[in-house]
Amino acid sequence: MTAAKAIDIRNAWVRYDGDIILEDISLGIAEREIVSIVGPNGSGKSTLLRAIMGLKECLRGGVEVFGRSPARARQEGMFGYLPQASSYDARFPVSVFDVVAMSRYARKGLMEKLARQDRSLIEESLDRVGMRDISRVHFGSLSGGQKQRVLIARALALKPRVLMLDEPATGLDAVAQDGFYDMLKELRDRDGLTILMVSHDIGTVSTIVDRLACVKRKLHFHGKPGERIPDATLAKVFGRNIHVVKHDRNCPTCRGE
Amino acid sequence: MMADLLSMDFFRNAFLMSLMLGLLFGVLSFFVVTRKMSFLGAGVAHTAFGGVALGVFLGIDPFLTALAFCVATALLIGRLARRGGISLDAGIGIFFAFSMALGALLIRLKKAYTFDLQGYLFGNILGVTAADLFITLAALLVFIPFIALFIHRILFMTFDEEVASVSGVRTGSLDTALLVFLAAIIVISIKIVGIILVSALVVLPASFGLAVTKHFRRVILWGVIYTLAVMCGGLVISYYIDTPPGATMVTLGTAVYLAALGMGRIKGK
Repeated sequence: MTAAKAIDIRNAWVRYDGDIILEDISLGIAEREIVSIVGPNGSGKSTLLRAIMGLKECLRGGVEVFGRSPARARQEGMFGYLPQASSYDARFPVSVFDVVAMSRYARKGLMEKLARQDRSLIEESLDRVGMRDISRVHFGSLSGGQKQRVLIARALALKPRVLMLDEPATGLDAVAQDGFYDMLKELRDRDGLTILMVSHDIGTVSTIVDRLACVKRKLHFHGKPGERIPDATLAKVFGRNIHVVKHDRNCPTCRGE
Repeated sequence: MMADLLSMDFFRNAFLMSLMLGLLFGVLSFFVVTRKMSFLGAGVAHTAFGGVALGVFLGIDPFLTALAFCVATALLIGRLARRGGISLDAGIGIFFAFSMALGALLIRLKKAYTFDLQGYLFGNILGVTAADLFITLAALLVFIPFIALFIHRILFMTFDEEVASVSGVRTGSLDTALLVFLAAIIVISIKIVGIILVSALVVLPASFGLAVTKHFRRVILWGVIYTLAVMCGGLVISYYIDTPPGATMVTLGTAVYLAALGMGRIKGK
């Protein structure tokens, strides 16, 4: 039996600033699957993520998310989105709690206030990323890694069906990365989330994802992490011969122990 | 003393106008400053000059032409910036200069020597009519409920527009509504504050709020208190020392802001 398709990309062509960035991409992602889109800088990974969410329109072809258009999926709050680490205004006057609450308010009616369930969902999301204790702290005063965790909590508080993560490990140290990837697996297994993650670190993500998709303008490889990616494909995607090193998560020196 | 001042119709009108504008700018400023639209505020205020001159040239109410001109300019600049066809500051720079030039040309061609140029540029305490008060009240009755209903969505959009959109917030419509309010509130305030100086009232309240507190509700509250104090205080001072009200309010407001900033620095050390 095949799992239901969460995301279905069919022959998608996407333009950015007048240039074709993605060409004839077809990719199906099953429900409860963790898939990583890998490729070098400027290969169109983030654009693909944005096309799936309907933030970029397809020139040709199309995308469906649980059988809906991306715009409809957005309106239904299906996407929990973590964009690439961007520089938030450090003076923006909001607390950690306020940032996560933004997700809940986006799903409420105009006159509605946060209900008890909303507050517990916000606290549970913060708990998951280990930030509950500092929920009243000013967001701008956090470190880069802490901000990243709060933004993940914000994505979770939306109660999405799909998590869209753009370079999520940026700003996290090796130990925090381990915890983060364990959390992704738990979200898949316990909450049934489908997770799509953009990364340029093919070595690390290949140890935790269900499938890899190598993108550089076209989809060059789509398979399970254990499968050998042909050297010619790696050279085509990354520009030169590279050797994929799988990081051993039990390596004490890597973990700084 | 205050009772004497308020017994004069023109001063009472100006005072009521200042109270209502204090509320409007106190709240509006938060969204303008945090959305980094301060320069847009200055640009739209200056384009009002072209709109006012167009009204004088065509012989129709300058308020209506300025309103149409400013709303259209704000939406056009916002749309161009959103589509990425032109950078926001370049767009503002072009329309800013064009509108001032158009205004100068039209005033000259009309030979409108009785036109109160100084009043439009720096504000006139005598200029507020009962009709102006009703228009300002109407703006207040629309703008404050709008903000009360949409504050969390606008906050989300301001903090992170792309994620807000992905989370189901209709960012395009909210942005358009904010631009229309920005243009309308600026035009409404021109009579008392003046075209040149109104941009200060768009920026100062939130800047003051951000200097004294770090939470958005308190920033808005402090912005409103500050604007009410500065506008009403500036109006009273301008009456006694016979200076343009807009110039007096902005000078007082800047002094209070700098004092708050200085005290914050001292407290921080």
